[in-house]
Amino acid sequence: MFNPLSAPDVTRAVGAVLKAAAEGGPDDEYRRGQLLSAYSMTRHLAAEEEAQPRLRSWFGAELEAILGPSEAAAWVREAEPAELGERLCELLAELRAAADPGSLRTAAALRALLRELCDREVAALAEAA
Amino acid sequence: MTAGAPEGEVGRRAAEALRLLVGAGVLGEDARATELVQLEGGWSRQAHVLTVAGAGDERQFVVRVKPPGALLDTDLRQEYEICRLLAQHDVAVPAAHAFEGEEGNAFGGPYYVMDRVPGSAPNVWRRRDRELLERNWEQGGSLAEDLVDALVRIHAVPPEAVARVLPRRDYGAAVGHWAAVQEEMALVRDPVVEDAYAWLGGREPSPGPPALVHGDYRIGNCLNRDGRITAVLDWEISYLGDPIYDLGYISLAYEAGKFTRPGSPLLGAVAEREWFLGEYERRSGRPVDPEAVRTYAVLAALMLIAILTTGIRMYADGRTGDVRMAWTRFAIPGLRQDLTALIDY
Repeated sequence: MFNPLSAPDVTRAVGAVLKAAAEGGPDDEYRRGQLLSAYSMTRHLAAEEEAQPRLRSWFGAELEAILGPSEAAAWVREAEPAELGERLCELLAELRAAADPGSLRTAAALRALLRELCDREVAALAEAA
Repeated sequence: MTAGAPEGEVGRRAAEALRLLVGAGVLGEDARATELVQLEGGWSRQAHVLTVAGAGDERQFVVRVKPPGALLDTDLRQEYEICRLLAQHDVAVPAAHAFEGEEGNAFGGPYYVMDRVPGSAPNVWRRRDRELLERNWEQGGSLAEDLVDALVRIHAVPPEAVARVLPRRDYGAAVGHWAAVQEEMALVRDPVVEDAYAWLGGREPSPGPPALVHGDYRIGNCLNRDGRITAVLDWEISYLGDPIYDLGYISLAYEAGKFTRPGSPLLGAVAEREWFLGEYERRSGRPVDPEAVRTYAVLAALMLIAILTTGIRMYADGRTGDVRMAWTRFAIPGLRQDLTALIDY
């Protein structure tokens, strides 16, 4: 969910390869590699796009359960993944710095949630394989 | 391309590489280039196979080029020098003959010329290659034997000789280096990655004697033929440091062929984990602390993410049109998952 390059960015990248393929390229082996990469991107992007809404919904609810129905949790529903990633970075840094028992418990709960998120995201991408 | 003198841009490159070899005394004045073929693009280096005829026989060389905007901004001369050094220390590397660092050469970037060694490199992300590697293990593990033996030999190269060629990078410097690359190149911040760097901050292993670290040690960077390793390649991120890093790197699930689905259950797709680490310890005489291996596996996953992030940044900034750089965004989730498992989130 915190991956660089948005869906429109990736779509444009695929388009650039298709355009280059149509126009011819510097050498066949290189061009074949580019086309196969573009094909792989389309499959993975489709799987990611299909999974994203339910992942975000699940993650938001779980995060709210950890942080409470406060302002801190409300941004989960609003923020774009990149913004959400940034806020989580800041939050984890604050919890590490505080290092009191409550902060450590919250950090542990956040990490467990992030692990589950990673597992679900990879499982969703594996559908493309 | 048919045999005969290569023409045009290819011909200019072939002639230049040939002149370099003749100048180095590797070939006689009567040698002539009959073919120059670029291999499938590497991620940070380009490779061309040069075929030369002369004195009634034929030889093949590899021209290894650092192109402009290479993924890894590492020093090609260091890579050339370490290959020269390793050949004197019983490590299986292609003989490196001559280096060209002048700007404006025909290949568009610094390059060196080395022997072409027979053999092929497996791709552990292809199921067929993984199955062949697993069969080799079941039938005696000749590749595993060679892989652990070559690593022991690499780590046994005298550190004072390595220090004359490569930079020294202790644990803190290695962590700091990749953290700085990640921070500079990232398009987005990643909470798992940043938390993993923080985790490494309190995990410095007890430093042992420094040694030559390959940095990218895996079966895919080894040529093999008939079940034996013929050469260890790709020294571009080697340095002098804690050799246990190479064990952490090769123990990553990613290096056993995991992408979004599990790869081989074998370490690096070649050997049972306990066997490999145990044999390394026995043959090298270096104690292997499983917690140090775990720490370096985390650093290795972060290094891979930093390198992928660099490629993604280069693509996003228009510094390369190679779409594989953008494609690697789909490799990051699997590595992030490995981090959460290794750190035991």
